[in-house]
Amino acid sequence: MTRETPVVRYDSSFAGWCAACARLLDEGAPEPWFWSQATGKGEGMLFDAMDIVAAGMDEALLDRFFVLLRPVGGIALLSDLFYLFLSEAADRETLMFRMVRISLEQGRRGRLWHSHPDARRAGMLIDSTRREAHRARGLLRFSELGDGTLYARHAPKHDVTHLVVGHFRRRMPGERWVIHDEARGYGMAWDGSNLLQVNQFPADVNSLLSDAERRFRACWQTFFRELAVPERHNPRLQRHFLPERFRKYLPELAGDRLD
Amino acid sequence: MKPGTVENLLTPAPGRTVPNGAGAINWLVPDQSIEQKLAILAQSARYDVSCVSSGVREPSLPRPVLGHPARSGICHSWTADGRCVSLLKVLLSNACVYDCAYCANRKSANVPRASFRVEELVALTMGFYRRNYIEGLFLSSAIWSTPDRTMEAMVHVAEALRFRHGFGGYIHLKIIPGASLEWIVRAGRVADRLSVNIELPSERSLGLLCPQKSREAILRPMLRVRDVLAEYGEDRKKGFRHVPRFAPAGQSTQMVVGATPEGDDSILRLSDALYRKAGLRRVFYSAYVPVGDTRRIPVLSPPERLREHRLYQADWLLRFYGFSVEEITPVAGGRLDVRFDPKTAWALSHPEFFPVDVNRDDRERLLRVPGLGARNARRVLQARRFGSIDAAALRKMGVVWGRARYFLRCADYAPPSWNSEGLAELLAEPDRKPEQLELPLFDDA
Repeated sequence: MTRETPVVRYDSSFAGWCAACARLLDEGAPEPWFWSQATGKGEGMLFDAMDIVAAGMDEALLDRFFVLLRPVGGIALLSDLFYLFLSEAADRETLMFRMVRISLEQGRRGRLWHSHPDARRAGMLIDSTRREAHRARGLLRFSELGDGTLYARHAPKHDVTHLVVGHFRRRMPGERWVIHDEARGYGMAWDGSNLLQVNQFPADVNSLLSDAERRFRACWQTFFRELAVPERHNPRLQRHFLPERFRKYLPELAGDRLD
Repeated sequence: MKPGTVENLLTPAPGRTVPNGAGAINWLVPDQSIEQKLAILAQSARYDVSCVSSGVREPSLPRPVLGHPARSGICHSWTADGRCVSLLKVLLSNACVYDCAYCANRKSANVPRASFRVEELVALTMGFYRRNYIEGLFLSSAIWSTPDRTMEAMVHVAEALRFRHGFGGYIHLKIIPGASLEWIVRAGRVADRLSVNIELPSERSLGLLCPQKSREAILRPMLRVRDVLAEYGEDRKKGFRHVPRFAPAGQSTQMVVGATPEGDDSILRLSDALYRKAGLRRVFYSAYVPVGDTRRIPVLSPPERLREHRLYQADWLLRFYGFSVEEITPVAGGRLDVRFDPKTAWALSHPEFFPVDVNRDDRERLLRVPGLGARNARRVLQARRFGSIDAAALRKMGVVWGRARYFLRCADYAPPSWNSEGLAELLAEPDRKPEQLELPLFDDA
């Protein structure tokens, strides 16, 4: 490792990474080590000196980045980068930088280079994040609280809560709801007109549930039990589709059961 | 029809009983709780295979109070049999005047009977949807009166959901064979998908096991739905602005496999015709499960899940891989070879077609390679623009190398020579336990 390798510090946001990347590309810098300010994680964290500091608030740099990306992948590439970012893989920043490089060299088709090791790994992480978001759309379970608010919690493998809120906003435009990511300690809330990030949650949600909640859960558990065909019993397949990390949140599998 | 009369259709006079072959059963028990009804009517619906919620591109309502369909469909859970739960799949009533031999709800079956009221089903659908348990409602029904009255009651449930409660989620309605076209069109206006079960692969079997259903009564609504879909599609192409919404996710059907002696070629030929001529989106296959008295079933074997699995694989070859029925089942009256997936079986009997060169051959040829599916064919075509592909890259892309290696050639690899018998022994899948088999096919996204 030589000191010619730049070290980049950014504010841990996706926009911050984009701004940092724009500066790197403008300066024609070689592949850097990224240092994420909030988490303290990054391949260059042992170095004191930071060559480049960037934050997502720098709109000029963001504009520059989008202008660079437009002819070589545009929204599709940006979407790939965002999914890679949300995958939270240890090497995500480096991989994202390499994907931008590949796209700048190869043009729009660069992201489809499935036989290239970096493009392939990026593709796998993007697919994994997309799959996790799709699962969350199906496996999140809302519980109705006494005041009518719907509350759901989960602990996804990737940081997909941002990816699913739009889906639930379309589904339940007139409801108030909260999606709590227990693994990352934050949540997203919809109050019927605004989407907000929230960081505080009640300690004992079960004590706040509405009266109707118990009845609906009982009905759902009954339906779920009766729908299975006994002659086709196949717990192995069920386990395959329902990963363990989701099971504790599913009322039909005795998670969140009210006694 | 006046509002509310549909409830009257389902509301029994106190103590009313309906005689059936198993004795007089009080099938509309006035004091049944909603949970009891749900238990009975979910159990009655569990042999309906489809639970798909995909295929809708536009919102069901301009400004729904609750609900928005997801284009790709969403699975919300998987039951103990490994099948996906996407919809609240229930019957409106399981009290039937028909006596189809294979059916769990037939008139002569000694099972508890129940019927939902409209508002009960609406409450369950909306309540489950709010909690993200489901994508919507799959509603079928036993025929408790005439087909028209049954269909009418089902349409009223869907209309109540859509228009009275602003429900924008997915609705799949079963068409009752024999229902008038007026009700079918009305069903299509509120439902996202319609389906009518073809039940059995041949008219003869239908006559034997379901003497009260006719081929004509099943095919007529199917063709009518096809015609309306085509008509509205044409109007849209012409630029008419207010073409009514009509079953945007198309129509599907289901047939029982293993209760009658038809071969797989007959089944696949029928499916192929349904896809091509009736414009169906999906044909579902259901291995027959004996329920109750089975004396009228001519072929009684254990549930043929492996056969069902192979039929689904063959169905995919028909729809997405450019195979014909004759290529998949060359012998009249024959069965698919259950030792291999149908593509491998075809490849073993056509050694002259291979090897396929992954760096030169077109998509159609790539799709014929066992172990290389549609997604990998696309990846190969995209990746080879950057340079030639080697064996390591193929494996990392996800090609099933253990199978594909005998049938393809790439930059640094040529397949070993083989003869069909020897390779068949190598590739035959070992006896698989039933729990290892299943269909990744309940979502046709």
